[in-house]
Amino acid sequence: MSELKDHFTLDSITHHLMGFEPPVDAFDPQGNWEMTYGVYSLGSVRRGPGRRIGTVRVRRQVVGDGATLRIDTEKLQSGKTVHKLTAELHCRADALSTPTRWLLQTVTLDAEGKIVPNTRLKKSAEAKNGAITISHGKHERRISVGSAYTTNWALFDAVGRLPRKAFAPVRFTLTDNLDQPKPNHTLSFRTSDDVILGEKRVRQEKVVDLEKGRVKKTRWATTGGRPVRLHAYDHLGEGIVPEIYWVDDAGRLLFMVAGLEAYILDTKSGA
Amino acid sequence: MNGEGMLSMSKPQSNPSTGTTRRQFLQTTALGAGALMGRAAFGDAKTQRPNFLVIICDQLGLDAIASHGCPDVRTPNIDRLVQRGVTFAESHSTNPVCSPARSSLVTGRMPTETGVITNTRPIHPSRPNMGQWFGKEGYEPVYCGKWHLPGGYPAEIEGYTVLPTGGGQGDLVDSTVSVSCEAYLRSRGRGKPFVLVASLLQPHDICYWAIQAKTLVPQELAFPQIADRLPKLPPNHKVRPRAPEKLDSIHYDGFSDAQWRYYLYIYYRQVEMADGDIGRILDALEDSGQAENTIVIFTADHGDGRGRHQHVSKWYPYDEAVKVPLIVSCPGRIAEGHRDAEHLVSGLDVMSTMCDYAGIPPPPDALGRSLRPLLERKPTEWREFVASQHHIIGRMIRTPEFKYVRYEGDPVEQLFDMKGDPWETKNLYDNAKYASVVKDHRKLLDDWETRLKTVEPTPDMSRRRRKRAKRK
Repeated sequence: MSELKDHFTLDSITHHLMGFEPPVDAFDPQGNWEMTYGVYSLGSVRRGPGRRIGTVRVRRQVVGDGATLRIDTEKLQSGKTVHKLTAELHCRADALSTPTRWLLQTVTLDAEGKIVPNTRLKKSAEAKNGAITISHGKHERRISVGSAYTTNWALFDAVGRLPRKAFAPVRFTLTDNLDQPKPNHTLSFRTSDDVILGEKRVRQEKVVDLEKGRVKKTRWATTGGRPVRLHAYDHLGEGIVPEIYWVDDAGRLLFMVAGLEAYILDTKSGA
Repeated sequence: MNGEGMLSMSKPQSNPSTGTTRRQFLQTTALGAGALMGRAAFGDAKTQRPNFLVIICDQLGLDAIASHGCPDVRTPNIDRLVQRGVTFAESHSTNPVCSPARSSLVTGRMPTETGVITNTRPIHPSRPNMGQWFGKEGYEPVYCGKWHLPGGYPAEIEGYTVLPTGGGQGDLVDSTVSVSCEAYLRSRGRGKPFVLVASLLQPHDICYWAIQAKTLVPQELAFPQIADRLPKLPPNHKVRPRAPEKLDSIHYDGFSDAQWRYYLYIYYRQVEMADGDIGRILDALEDSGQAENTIVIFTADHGDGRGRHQHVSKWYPYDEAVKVPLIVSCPGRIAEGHRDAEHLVSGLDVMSTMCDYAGIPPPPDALGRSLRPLLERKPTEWREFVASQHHIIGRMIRTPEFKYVRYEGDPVEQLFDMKGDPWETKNLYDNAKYASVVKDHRKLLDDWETRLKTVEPTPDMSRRRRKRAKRK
């Protein structure tokens, strides 16, 4: 059994995991599910813990022998604007949740919810014979990705079905944000461990008698929590800083941490 | 060139309007001597009114690009620009810190002339920025991404229409910048020509790998599978040449060699992140049918230490921080696949070059030179040095052979022979053989400084300073 601080990358989200409620309900990584993640930026010049800047919702729907992934992201920006990205990916039920076709839409909304001019984008894509054809209106762009490829969001689905022990690293090309090919990526098993999750911060007060009178001292301590079996996978490759995916025993992705960027499952909204 | 060779540089007399000295030496290109380009070409440019796509990276060193010789990184999109345009191997930041360097890029003036002598200050109101200058000439100026003059990602910037972004560091914000620029390029109407600034934050995230080293750079490599892929340490990693006190105080000694190599590994991945975003923007430009009439300018505000001289980050006049990429491309207008290793260029030149191609005059007293003759490989007279400022009191000038550095009030100066010692390992300032070189460079710097039309520094708007001022 170990604590968050014992694991590289979990130590950097300790603050944000205070009060995290590990999900206990049944979960089938091969079935239909919906999960929402908080998006956290961990970089802070004042060495603080960072902050939540947005949300990603992933919905999986089984379709035939594959699945459809519906992705909805929202990110808070300057001037109280919100950047929204919506994607629908048709994926195989393989080790990479390989997307075979998809639709991507993005837009920026102002503080009143109106569309900021010239920020709307809609693109579709289809993969065939080791290449992806991305279409925007009349324009088509073909990118070569080989037979093993996937994309950022599909990995949120794929990791839940990976083996819980060492396996030969899966090699692939990452189509970053669904259009930029980044080759030489690997996905591999990192570790399995029982990690204490769900601790809460509590304020403790203590009265101390001094010669000149009594003083009240307060300090923060952690309490509660329970061990949760976690399985971690490394995602390495060109154009990304190392990412570690943390999955529970049911195959549910709880956290993904990559340097200054972290995704933490919103358990209060129901996983 | 030895020390004696520099004698010919004494008594420089300058032309304040062009930033060149009277006795410029003629540097010709493959086409040999011929007519000067520049102002005479405004008429041609006016008929075409090109668009401008200015892509700025943050903390990208000149040699951190695959096509600039870096074996540790893959940058197919920046390489695409290199292949299609002119890349300058002697390109220098006016101040290797974010805000001051950016103030020069958008005004064509040195940081002491914009009032932005350190981070998080606004540009002096008397100095028009690129958006204001091009906007009044009928352009549509659009800004997307990091600004930092003073706010990081403001909702409004004078002179520009802002495509809003922000939220998170480069890993999270840059994809929004590139997607927003893509949306703009694909959806804009074809009215006015545009000036689109796409300002990416990567590879600036690397700063945190030193600031938050405890959680980000473990003593033992966290990913054994990349052990054989970690970049080698630079040859000047442990070298600390004699330096002015303030400069000498900057170095990072918190890493083992293995940690330094992991730091480099991360840096190059962040460069690749930026490259992907650049690819998205370039793809959109091409697909939108506007590439042939768009001049793409790619540069950075400053570089990163990358373990050279035990440095992380920036702030200092060594090449790892002060040399930045400057790549300009436009099919049919600009030479393709040319590496210019001969001419000293500066962030000051971006504004003047754009004005030249747009057929408009540069802002009053702008110090930059139009790169147009170099980009079109036409013969031209060129400047004999570029200057950089740092740490408020630090100054650097770089001539073809030497780099000279001094800090006000500090008896220790620096002189590096940049041809014989490109890694800046031997400070020659007190070597008697180079006495005349030092003397000439002092004079060059003195003359340059007197020509600058400086303004009072604008207020430091950082939270820390504001809090301190409030307490007082």
